[in-house]
Amino acid sequence: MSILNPTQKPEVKFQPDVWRAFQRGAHKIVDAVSPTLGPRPRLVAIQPTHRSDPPELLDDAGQIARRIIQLPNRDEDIGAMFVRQMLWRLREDVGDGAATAAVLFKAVYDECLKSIAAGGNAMRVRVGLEKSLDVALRALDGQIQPLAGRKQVADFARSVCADDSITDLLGEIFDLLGAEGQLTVQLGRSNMTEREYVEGHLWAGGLLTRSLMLDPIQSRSRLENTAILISDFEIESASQLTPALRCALQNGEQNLILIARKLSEEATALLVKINRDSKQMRVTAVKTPGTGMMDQSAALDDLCALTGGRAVVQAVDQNFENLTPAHFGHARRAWADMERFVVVNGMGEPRALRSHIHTLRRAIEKSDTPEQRNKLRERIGRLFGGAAILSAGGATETEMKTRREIAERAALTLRSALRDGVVNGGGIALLDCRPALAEFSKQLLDEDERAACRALGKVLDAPARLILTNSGFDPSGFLTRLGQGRGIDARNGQAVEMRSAGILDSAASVRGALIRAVRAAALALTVDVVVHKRNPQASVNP
Amino acid sequence: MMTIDSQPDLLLALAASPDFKKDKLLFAGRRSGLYRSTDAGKSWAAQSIIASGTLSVTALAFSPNFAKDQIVFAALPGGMAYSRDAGNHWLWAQFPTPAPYVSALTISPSFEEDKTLFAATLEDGVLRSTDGGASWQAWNFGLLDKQALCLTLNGEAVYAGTSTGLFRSHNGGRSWREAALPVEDSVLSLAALGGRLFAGTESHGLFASAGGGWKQVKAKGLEKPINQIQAEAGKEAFIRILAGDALMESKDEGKTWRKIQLPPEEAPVLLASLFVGFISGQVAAR
Repeated sequence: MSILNPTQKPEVKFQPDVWRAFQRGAHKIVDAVSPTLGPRPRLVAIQPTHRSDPPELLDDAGQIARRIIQLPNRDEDIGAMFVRQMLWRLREDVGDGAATAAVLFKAVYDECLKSIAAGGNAMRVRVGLEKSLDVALRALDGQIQPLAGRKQVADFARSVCADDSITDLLGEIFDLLGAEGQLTVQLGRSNMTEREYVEGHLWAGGLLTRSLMLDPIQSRSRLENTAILISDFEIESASQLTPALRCALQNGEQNLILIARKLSEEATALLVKINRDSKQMRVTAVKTPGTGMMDQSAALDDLCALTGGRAVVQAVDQNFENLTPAHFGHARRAWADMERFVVVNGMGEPRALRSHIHTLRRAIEKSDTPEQRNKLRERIGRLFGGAAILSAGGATETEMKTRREIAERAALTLRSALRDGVVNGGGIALLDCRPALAEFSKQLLDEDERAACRALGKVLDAPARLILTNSGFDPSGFLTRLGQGRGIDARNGQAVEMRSAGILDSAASVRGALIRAVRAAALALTVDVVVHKRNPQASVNP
Repeated sequence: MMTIDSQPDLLLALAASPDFKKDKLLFAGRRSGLYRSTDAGKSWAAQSIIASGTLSVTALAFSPNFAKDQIVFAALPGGMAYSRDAGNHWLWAQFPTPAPYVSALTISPSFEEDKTLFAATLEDGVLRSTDGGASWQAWNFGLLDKQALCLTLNGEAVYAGTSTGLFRSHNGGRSWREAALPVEDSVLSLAALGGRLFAGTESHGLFASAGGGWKQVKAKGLEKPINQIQAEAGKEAFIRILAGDALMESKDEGKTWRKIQLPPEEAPVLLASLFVGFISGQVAAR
């Protein structure tokens, strides 16, 4: 149900109303996120859902766009939601670049609309934009350089996040863990933002029951040279468990970690009795990691690769009756508390582990959604071993939450920069694509295609201009000094070599912004008719 | 040939003092414990490291500033013994449990300032100490194979050879990335000379780093497992390797090689300065 106008009727709209309204709607979203571009972002206040709550203050273009779920004018709403979706997807995928994409979209769309208004053909303009995009991307790819070393990583962190308490720590963490490292950002317990490292492979979850906490003083179970039985079973009775324990004992195991989804009271009692009475074996039980079947199945696969065990799974009607010693995985150490389960130095075959990681990498290449890709990357990070926990500090819970969000976003951008490299920041990398476009426009025979290419070349300075404007400078005074790796440090107005000054952008975010903005603008230019439905629902998810 | 003692015992580690020409000091690690010679191997004395019983000594290393600081390290099951008076008295540092087997020790060339040293272990990857050996922690981010067989430093990079390949750390052994050799093989030995890294493998001979990649060093006798590489820089720079049962030497950074004659019927296992250690526990000087 529409939240604003419950009496809207179906309607069909034609040109020129469509372009005008689409443009107005798109501008509203773009103008809302534009103040956030650059090193001196201004904030956008979002009215809270409950009046008693304070307003949400955001400087993240993707988040701001996401908060705008509907415009009152439904003709404008079409354009606004079109841009919103593009920005949010970009933010989900690479963590940054949404403001750049918004500015580019507006500049490309407006400039090309002029050509169409002057009699150009929208479809040919679109083709021209798509051809020119390929040229611009090649020019951009030629500027990419790797990001490496603690100082460079910390410098880059500083350029994507203005919070000094976070940047040095993120620089250290990502220098250590690399692009795929496992990082958990949580709320801290003091004013200080702190980090800790956990040795080994960490899963959320932990012990199935406090009764199996073998070291109550440390509030955890820790076992050395331990066997690990990897399953997704819901163990309802002691008798169901007996064959597994017998097999472990026959195999000479002195320590056993049972991984299961559920453990009944009767089964728990049996394990408690073994720990109390038996001198032969110590046992503990942890939750099958992951939420949902897919997650759990992935976690079991990863555990098998790490420990050299074989998962016993319900889905294929397996049970503990036919267990063999080969089913047990092994680790030098493993520990679990009520929240975490950590395997240190799994004793699986290293070649099998490499091959498993390689399979996950291939899956990333084939996956369609950012969510899928992020999950796969998270798994790879875990398999590399070692995890960092960043506790965002602050004087109030709101400050901690804000800092946590900033850290998460910066981490996403850092990952993509480490993975895909960096380019000159401040909009200079885009500006430096102009010569390639100027050359390419000479080769285009079609007038509309050529106009599109020129339009794209012309507007590639839009992000650089806006960054300067947002920082309080008049861009017209600087434009002649921009390009070929040189730009303006928007913090002080000095002309600098952007790379030497550490003013860098993630190549993935600039690339992503350019691709999405140009493709979205090209597509939007060809929208000729809008059909309104009766009472469309407000957009909450893109 | 010099005999450490009359009892046959496996020789596991051998190290000569960096100031050997002056102090004639040698240490040998065996299953039966630690032995010290102060007369260039002519006579040996068993050293008592722990109060009760003996533990095998699996790796030995001298501080690069030994002449000044007199520090020497001896890896034992469960921990690291270190002496600050050339082996007269020993201190003990415990490893994280369960106790790993240390296969190699490497000390930072700037040990005096950074107090950093590394221990390769067969079960727990690489352990690192940044307080001169008093405490040890595993730093294995990215080290996919925890069976570390050898270690070396090359400039600011630390390299670890494992049972399935070579790993490199650019941040002082805190995280690791695979430094892919052209072959998939166990890396048994490592050494650096003049910025070049040499990696000895189990089945594919010796590799040398070259222009950002690797080049296989080809010579007769190098096709055997390269169990140890010893490289020394300076005016008379040389590389010596134990390839199977043969001792080979190159004085032109690996371009040409010659075989050095060893006593027959003896299997060499270790190189230290001018000395060759044999599996039987004997030590020979060149």
